Amino acid sequence: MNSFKKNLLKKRYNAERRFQWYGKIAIGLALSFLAVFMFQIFSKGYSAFQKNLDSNRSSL
Amino acid sequence: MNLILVTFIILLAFTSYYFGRKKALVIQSSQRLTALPKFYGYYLAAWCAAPALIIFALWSVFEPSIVKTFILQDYTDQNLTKNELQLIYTKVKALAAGTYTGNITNFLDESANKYIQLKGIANSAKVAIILAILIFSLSFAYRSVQKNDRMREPVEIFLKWVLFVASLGAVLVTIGIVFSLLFEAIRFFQAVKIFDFIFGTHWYPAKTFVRDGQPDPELMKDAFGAVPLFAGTFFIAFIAMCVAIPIGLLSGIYLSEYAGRGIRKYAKPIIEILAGIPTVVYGFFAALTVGPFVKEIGNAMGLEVSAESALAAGAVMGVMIIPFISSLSDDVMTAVPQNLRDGSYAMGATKSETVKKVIFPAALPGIVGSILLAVSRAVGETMIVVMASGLAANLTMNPLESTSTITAQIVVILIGDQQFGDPKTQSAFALGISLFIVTLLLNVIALSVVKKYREKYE
Repeated sequence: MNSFKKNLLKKRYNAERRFQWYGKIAIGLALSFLAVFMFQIFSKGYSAFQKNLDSNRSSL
Repeated sequence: MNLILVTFIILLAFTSYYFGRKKALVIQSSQRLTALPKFYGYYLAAWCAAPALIIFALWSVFEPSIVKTFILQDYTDQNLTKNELQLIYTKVKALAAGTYTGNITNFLDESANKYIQLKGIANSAKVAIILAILIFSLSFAYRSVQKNDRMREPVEIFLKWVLFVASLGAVLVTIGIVFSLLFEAIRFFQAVKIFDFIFGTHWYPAKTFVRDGQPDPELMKDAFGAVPLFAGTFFIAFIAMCVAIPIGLLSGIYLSEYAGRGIRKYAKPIIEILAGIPTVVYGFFAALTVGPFVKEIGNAMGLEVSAESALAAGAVMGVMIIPFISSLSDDVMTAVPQNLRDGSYAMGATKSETVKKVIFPAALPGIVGSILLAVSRAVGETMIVVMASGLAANLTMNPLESTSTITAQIVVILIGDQQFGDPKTQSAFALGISLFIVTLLLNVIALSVVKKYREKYE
């Protein structure tokens, strides 16, 4: 196998690896969007529940 | 009364089903059955319920208008307009129901008595007719059961008609929606020139609101220019697609071609959660978290960013749309036959080359379909835009400014008090029909694209 073919093969395998990483990054992004979203909603919503409980308790 | 009647018909239908099945078993002892026993039951039940329910529905539809003509016959000699007649009829009905609070004239009282009388006659006639039909059709059906006629074919013809009516209903509803949009839009275009609407660059319908009187035609000319709305709609949809198409498509490819069974089993449903979150929640997420975040970053970079930016709305909308593209394109690519893949590998292609050159073209119709679905979601999305991108219709191409979309403006127009004959209200219908036409065009274009570039492997 001459060096030209070797280089081509190397290039193609690199492209293959890159493509696979694109997919992984895309899935990671989608999942992290979901995670950020959930985190934001629950971290903000959690305190609202607590405040409500406190005010109920003080009125009792 | 109606409820009792309908319940009676349905109960009778159930009873006749069991009766028919029993009868079939009795017939079986002496001669050969023409169908399974349950078809004897279905046959009787269909003959029992269908004619009676059809007559019942027709009667309920036509009864009020017939009663109305009878009542209003007494008023024909008074030269009243259509609206006045309608008012009188409403008064009579209220008086008959005992909820009328105005002063009662002799004439009205008479009409109300007549109304009650007519209603009574109509009710008893309805019961009598339906009972007669029930007896007639049931005895007819029972006779053919006794004669042991063919039972399966009539039942299947009946089912075919039920399916036909159901699909007819769906089509009619669609046609009705389009026409109601169209008629209101035509009335709008009588007040505002269609040219001003399509090419005007200034959208400010509140300007035409004038207390007591007709708005100035000069004002109308400059208030309903829809260009900023079209521009805003496509701009925000474009930002959304910039987020959704790469992420959705690549994760769809990864899920279908690379991911192991374990990853696919968990990642796919988790990503689909994104589509299940209500758009209102996305809306306040965009308005309260992403919007200020974008503004902060912009300010840190020395840019002027409004808190309600097209970028925030578009980005969040894109995240919402990701699963539509990823899930659908994953399904489509998984459905590509394995021998295409095997052929490509056998020629020495790498996996990514196979995806790009073989699987993607083969799955193109489905992928374009998924993108199209995503675009129509983006164009029709309302809540995120209302909350995160503002309501002022700016004509801008700057993603950091606030813009508005067609759907958001329809919301603005139709909340609060409005008059139906007002061009401001009717402009919502004009916007609606233009949105409809745009999505229709998108569909047509996408179909022709698919036809042209599709690789057929059959």
